Amino acid sequence: MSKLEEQKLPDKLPDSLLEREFEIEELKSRPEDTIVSQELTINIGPHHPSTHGVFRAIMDMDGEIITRIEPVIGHLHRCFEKIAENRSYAQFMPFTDRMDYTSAMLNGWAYAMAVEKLAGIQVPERAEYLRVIAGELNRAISHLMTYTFSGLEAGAVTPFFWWFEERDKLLDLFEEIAGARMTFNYARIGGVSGDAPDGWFDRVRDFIKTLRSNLDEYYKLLFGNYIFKKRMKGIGVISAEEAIRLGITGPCLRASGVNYDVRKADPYSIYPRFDFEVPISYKGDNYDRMYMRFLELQQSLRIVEQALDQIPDGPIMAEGVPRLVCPPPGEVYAHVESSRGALGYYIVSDGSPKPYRVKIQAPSFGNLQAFTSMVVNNYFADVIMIFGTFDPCFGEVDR
Amino acid sequence: MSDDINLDEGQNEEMPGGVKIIREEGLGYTLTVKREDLLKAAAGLKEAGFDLFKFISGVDYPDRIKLVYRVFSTKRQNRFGIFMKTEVPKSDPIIDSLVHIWPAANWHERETYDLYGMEFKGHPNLRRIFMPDDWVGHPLRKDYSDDRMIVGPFNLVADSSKKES
Amino acid sequence: MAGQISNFIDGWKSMFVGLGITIKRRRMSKATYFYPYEKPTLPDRWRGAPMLKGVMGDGSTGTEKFPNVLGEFNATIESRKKEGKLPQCVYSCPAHVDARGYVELIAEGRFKESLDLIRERCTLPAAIGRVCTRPCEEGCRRNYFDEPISVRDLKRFAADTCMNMSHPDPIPKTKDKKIAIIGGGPAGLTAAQDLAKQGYYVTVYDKNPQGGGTLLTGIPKYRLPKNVLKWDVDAVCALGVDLKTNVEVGKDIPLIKLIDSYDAVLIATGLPAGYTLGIEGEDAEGVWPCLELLKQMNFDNHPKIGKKVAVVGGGNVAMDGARTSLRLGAEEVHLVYRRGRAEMPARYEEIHESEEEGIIFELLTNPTRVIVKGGKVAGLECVKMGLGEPDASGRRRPEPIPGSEFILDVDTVIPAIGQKMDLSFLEGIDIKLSDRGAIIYDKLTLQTSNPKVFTAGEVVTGAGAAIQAIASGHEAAESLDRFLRGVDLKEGRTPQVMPKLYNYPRVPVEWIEPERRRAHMKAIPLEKRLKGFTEVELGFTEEEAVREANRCLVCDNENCSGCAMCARTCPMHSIEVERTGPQETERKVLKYNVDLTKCLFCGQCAEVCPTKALVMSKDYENSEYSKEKLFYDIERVLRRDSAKIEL
Repeated sequence: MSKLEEQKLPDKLPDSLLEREFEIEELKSRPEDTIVSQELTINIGPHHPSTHGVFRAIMDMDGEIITRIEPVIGHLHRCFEKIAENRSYAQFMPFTDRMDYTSAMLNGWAYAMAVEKLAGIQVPERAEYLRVIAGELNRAISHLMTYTFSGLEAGAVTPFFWWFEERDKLLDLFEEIAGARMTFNYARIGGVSGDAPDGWFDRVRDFIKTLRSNLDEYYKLLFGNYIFKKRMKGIGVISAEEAIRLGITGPCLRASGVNYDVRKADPYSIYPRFDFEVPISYKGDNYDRMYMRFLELQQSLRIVEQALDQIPDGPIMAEGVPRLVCPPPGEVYAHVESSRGALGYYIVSDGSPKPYRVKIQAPSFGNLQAFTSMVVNNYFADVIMIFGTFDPCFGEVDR
Repeated sequence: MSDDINLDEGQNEEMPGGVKIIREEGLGYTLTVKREDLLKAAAGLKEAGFDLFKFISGVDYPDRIKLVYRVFSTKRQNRFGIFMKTEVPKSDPIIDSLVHIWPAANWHERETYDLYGMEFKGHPNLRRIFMPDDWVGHPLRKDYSDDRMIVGPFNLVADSSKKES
Repeated sequence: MAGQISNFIDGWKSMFVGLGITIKRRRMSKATYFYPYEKPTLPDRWRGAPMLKGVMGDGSTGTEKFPNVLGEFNATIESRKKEGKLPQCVYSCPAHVDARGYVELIAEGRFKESLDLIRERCTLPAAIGRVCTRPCEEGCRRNYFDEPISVRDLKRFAADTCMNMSHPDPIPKTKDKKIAIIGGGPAGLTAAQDLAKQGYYVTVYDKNPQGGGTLLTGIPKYRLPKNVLKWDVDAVCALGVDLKTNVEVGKDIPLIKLIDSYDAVLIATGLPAGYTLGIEGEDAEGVWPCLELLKQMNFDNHPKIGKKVAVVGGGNVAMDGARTSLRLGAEEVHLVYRRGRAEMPARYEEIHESEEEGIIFELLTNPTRVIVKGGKVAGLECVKMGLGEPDASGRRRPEPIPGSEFILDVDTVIPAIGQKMDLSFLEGIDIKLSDRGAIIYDKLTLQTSNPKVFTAGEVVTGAGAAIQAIASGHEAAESLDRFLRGVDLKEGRTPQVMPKLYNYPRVPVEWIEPERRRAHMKAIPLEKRLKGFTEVELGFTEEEAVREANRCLVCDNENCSGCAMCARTCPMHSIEVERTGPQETERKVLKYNVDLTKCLFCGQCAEVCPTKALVMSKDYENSEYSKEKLFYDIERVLRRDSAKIEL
């Protein structure tokens, strides 16, 4: 028997309904122009097209304004840190791709850097240059994806379809060098897995040329558009002190005026050889956070061009790296600047081939926490736009 | 309490409780404090300009849990991060919460509670964050095991979980 | 109002700009294709599901062997290397002995065939199996995973097992040419074997009472018993080689007579003499050149040395001299070497065993003077050295530290600092020598200035391992064969393929499972070693040898050998492999499952596979696995079974 059939209207109204009746009676007695509103609890479920992944938020809303938000994360939690304790160092490499899956080359790079620092392995030059080229291209493409999605959320559907062609071309290029389109598994402990095939560098140069010729169009169609500007400027303002207090890193921090980029503050790998700038803005609103990414894309292309000119010949993998890397007991921390912020790995080893503890410091985790702290008292439509500018990737948040 | 920590190469500074900041291999500058001195040391670091909170990590040993905090500074000329390490015995896993000093520590402490069982005194909202709310057990502890865990058919000879560091 | 007007203008401007861009885009050509009907070509590195190209034991005939076909061997090795089908052990050996082949034959229990395969390229298997420097084990691919296969000890096992069998039958002489070979060492005997197999008349002249060269005189009995060497040399002579011992060319027969009466002559005399220290007091009684000491010992004339001995040098010869002195009754043996431990050229296990037997190492020390009292040695004055810049050979040059002289209290000094050749028999012969007194020869054809005279072995290449002399002997045999047939020596000839030295790090042994470790060679206990000259290492039993040979990964032949290295590398533990154990002679892979529901398609298994049988198939959908190609059925995958295969 279904539950509906069991229900019958009671003979006597229960107390809550009586209260309700009393409220309505009281309301009727008031003057006509008072409006009494009630807060509505809405659930933006884990499956939602605008949430960039699986994210659940329970919001209390007063009309269109959010008064309280309670995020629920952990739907994509695969506990990589526990998996890492049962695998050897080289076996854990494919899992690093699955965290920040939109810019996967940078994750593998961070992990490989941490293990190499711990074990004292020296990476050859050509491998470093290949890592830089792949990483910076990946950052450029990740930023491209972010602002097309942001346009999609604002209602501009066309950029997403037009500009994803560039991303597709780049994923084809990555397919030639790494073997897959999203989970590259390209970095290895001691180098990279494969050298560039013939003509790959020329194809990368062609790709950069077409991308640069389209930059003008990107600006005119999206960033210069009146509606986009109206929807983004002046909304979601975070001041510099507030940003530091909330623990944001990455382009969002730089849009608020704090000059912190890991590539310049704590240089790693061969970044000191390249000549690039770190764009900073001081207003800290939505538009600036998005525009930072556009400017960073141009800087990334600049770095890639310099790297293509400077790349030397040589081996791509360090000699003498055993299959079971047994680093001496100790701890290490290494961080890189990924497209979302500072991504770090903290590894504790006890001398055995398996790590004792791998802690992954994901930038989206801190950014999402900041987002949920400052979103109160905004319109709901604006909240979705702010969410897009913080650009969390839930593979990283939940690990 | 020293307000202006000058952390150039090779210089050690005094912190409250008489602990020194030392430079470690692979990690950089670290500060090891006892459980009771944590709040004072954290306040001292905040005053000295370390304002960007990065993460908390727990490391599980057989009889104690080691906590590693990482804080960064955006104001100093030679910018670097500093690690703060404490140890908490497993029989009594309670420690002070640093949310009032660095609000960004909120979700990190929730994560450590969820995965290790560390309780943070003074945290406004100490609930599970990754696991469902009714989960039993703390997954990242070494003695946690589940039917769903896959351990490979070829195990290496010595089990690292039984070793002490 | 002004704000409203500017907003109005901004809005319309944005719209017109967008319209213009849309028109521009419409006129651009489309760059898409219709998937999956127009699939583009996949790049080489595109991954897919893993796939096996072949499996051991499904009717295949085993690996490709490399027998020694005179004239074609070098070309075969080079072409296989280019195709990627040459295993690393064969490539690392200077003589390119088919290590993979004979280890496989031992694993299948065919010991006599294995010995025949060894004898193709390595002439003296029982001797080389005891003294070789084994570059094959350094290049073994199993070094990357855990411990290498004991290729050299398996060679010794094959030779020892067949020692009771008869020697090969003599080969009938089909050609009418005669060749004289001066020097019966490894190089000379190798050339003799190759030429005798072609049917020539070969005569070998050697000045010692037995054949073997430096293997006879320079290597002590506890490493290489002399009856073993005799068996090896007899096997070569049984092919039809005429070995004349106790004949010294230059004294007993002048060289000019050989050049006139034979059709070709090969000089392979090696390096019989030793360098002198060049210090004061070297002619006193009690200074024994090391090679002289070892030679006397090998001919059973027990030389009388004192109780306290100093051996100068750091190579294998010095180690042999030191250990021989211990067995001859010395109480204290000092080893004086002018560089440090890491720069010693001796083999690792020699140094280790010398330390076990109690030899005192005086490193970074150089002798300056022998203190002579009454014509006899009473002490050795030495000075401490410091290491400076590296010299031409890459090792750091030692420089004396002034003021650090001290005196070693010894009564015997044994210098062992290098070997040099003895070309006294070339006086008066029309063969060009260089300024230093070495023979000038062509590097490709090994021919000297006299077209009938060739050289091979250590006398031209310099000091090296025995296996390098054997490789040189093969080259000389090919040159001689071409010369005697009248064919041009250089045309269409592939030069000798140089071996490559691999640089694998050592995996710490405690992380390897005990059943996957290398077989441990038993040695006689330490107390019994010093009492005489019995052989120290005892050799494998049959069970140990077959078990060790089964560890071989059978690289580079595109048939899965069941080594399960892919299963150990898979991050998701999705591969299951089983194969027959070592006690069964027919080797088969019993089970090979890849669980496609767990596989991440990361490609690490194919990178690591030593046989190159596991490849990524560039196919995600419609992957099929069958017995030849390991197909999966897509429906079985979707039903979430792991795809099992019956082999």
